[in-house]
Amino acid sequence: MNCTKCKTKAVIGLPRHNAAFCKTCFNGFVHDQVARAIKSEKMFGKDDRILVAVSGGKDSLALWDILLKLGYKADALYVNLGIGTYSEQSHAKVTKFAEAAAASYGAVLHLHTVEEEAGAGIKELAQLIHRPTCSTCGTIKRYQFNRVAIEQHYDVMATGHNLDDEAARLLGNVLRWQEEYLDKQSPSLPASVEGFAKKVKPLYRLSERELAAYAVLNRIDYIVEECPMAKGARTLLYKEVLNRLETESPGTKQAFYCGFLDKQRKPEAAPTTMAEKDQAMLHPCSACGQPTTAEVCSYCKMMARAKTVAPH
Amino acid sequence: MVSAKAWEVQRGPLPLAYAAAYDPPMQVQLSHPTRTVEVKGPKKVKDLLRELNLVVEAHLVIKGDNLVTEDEMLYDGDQIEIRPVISGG
Repeated sequence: MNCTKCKTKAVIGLPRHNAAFCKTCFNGFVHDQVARAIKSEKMFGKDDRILVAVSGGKDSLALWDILLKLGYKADALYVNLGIGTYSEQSHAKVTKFAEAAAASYGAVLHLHTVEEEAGAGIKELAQLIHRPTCSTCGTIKRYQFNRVAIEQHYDVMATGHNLDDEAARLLGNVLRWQEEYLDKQSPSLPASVEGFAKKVKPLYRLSERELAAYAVLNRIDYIVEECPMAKGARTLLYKEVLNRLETESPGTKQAFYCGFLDKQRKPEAAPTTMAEKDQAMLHPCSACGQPTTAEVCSYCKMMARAKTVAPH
Repeated sequence: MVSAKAWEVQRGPLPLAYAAAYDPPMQVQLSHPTRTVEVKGPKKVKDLLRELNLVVEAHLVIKGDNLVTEDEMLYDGDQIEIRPVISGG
């Protein structure tokens, strides 16, 4: 397989774009996708101070790396959740990236340790208050990222949510018709009230596989192990289902999520009933009289064609 | 000891009976849980994934330090990592 752009040996195929790229052209593709996301969703400018939420995983470290390489002023915050060796390892990966790569751009890593403030890790906290660990974790991370962004006067907070994350979340919300959550699925959420930082997701145009490939190709050392608390999470099932669909029909995830965003952007037309739509579009077929949108209905066209090609 | 591939480059094709015994099967490292399985080559990346019942969209295949595409041929003796890319709860 050769690179679609420069024709040298490709390192990754992207069926949804009907393309394959070598390392250099793939890096260019990834940077272009992020730049397009930032511009089209008016996320931030070159003078804005950005706080990236980093976890030690591929997406957030790749996001920090990309923003710095694109010339943005991006610092990061790591929240140590106190999940045993998993947190120790992810903390080490973040520190390593901050020192080896981000520091050369003058970027700063902030740190918040849950155990220091709450006296226990999130697993113990969740047990204490009888709430699922993942929801406790989400609440703590959202709160701390917002707090640091406001206190340290950052203009915007960026998270590493990718196309798979957003498509899986959308699928979950649609399956349960949780319409109240759909408004929050935009890749750019404004600072709606005093005390809320603006939140953006610059990776929403890139799939999880593309971001993992970016991390591998650019030697970003991330934590490959899954969070032990996420085992059996429904989001993982949605992602698995979407990836099966994507393999059979490339572009499904993008069409699903980006189609939703397009629909959200369009101003709502006055509601019309199905009968009103039919009355406006349909009229009798000139051959048989049944309703059709065309001069001759598709049944009459099909039968006329069958008669012309039938053996006599 | 040189690999069968290197031997063939230097001296020409290895007789089939020797070739089978010379190189060990490819070593494939998998995650969640971490384990290594042996798979007989030669085999295309996409066929290896299919044989292990893994979806292309959810995995990267790494040979040595390099990413490989689905049409690349893998041989006995190769060290392969199949890395899952799905994360999050």
